[in-house]
Amino acid sequence: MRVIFLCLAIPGKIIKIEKGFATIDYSGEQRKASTELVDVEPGDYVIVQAQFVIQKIPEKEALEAIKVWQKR
Amino acid sequence: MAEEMSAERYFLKYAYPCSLVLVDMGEITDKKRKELEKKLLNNEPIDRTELEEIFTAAFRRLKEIAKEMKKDYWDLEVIKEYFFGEKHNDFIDKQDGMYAEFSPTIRGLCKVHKAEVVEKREDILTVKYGSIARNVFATLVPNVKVGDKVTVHWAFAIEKVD
Repeated sequence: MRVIFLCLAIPGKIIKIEKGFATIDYSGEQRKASTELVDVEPGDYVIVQAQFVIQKIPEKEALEAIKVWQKR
Repeated sequence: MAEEMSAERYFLKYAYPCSLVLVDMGEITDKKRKELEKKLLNNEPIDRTELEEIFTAAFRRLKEIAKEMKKDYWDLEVIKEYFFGEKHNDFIDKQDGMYAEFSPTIRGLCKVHKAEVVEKREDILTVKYGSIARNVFATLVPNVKVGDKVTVHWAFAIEKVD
């Protein structure tokens, strides 16, 4: 897919936090990100940039956003 | 600031957070992103064609604004009108193109915000705009101080403003 837009992100769900790093699930694929910028806890839906959690996102909104991207 | 920033550098400062998003999306390699970052941080020349190829949608919108302003789309004033003059935010509010598929929180990150620095620790700034306080990176504005006004795009403070 050729990117024709400037900004994009998909929310993930924090499944655990250890030593300042969250493990985040993206529909089965997991990534790690620092929690230095935002106070978060397991179960939170978040946006990650440059391996940092940068923003919490309400669960209802996150689930809808994930659904939109899964349809693409 | 003694010398005026080039249009290429001004554009890339604002687009820098998006280069990270493009890597996450697999649209550009991290090697390519790091090359852009190096040019940006080390004041090396930045290639226009390369930017236009990477940030296609931004340049479609810049061309629209340039036409309205009767200027070239690489005119610094046009690029300033886009990012700082809030034309970019207007496109997001209108849910232009792919913005239609973004949820409200993500659209909020896409927007450029004018914020005040309320705390600084090493390379992280706490900034405030409206009722929102957030932590962002000072990578692009290493010399800002508490009390300074900055623009914020995604998780980065972009430039010091008056």
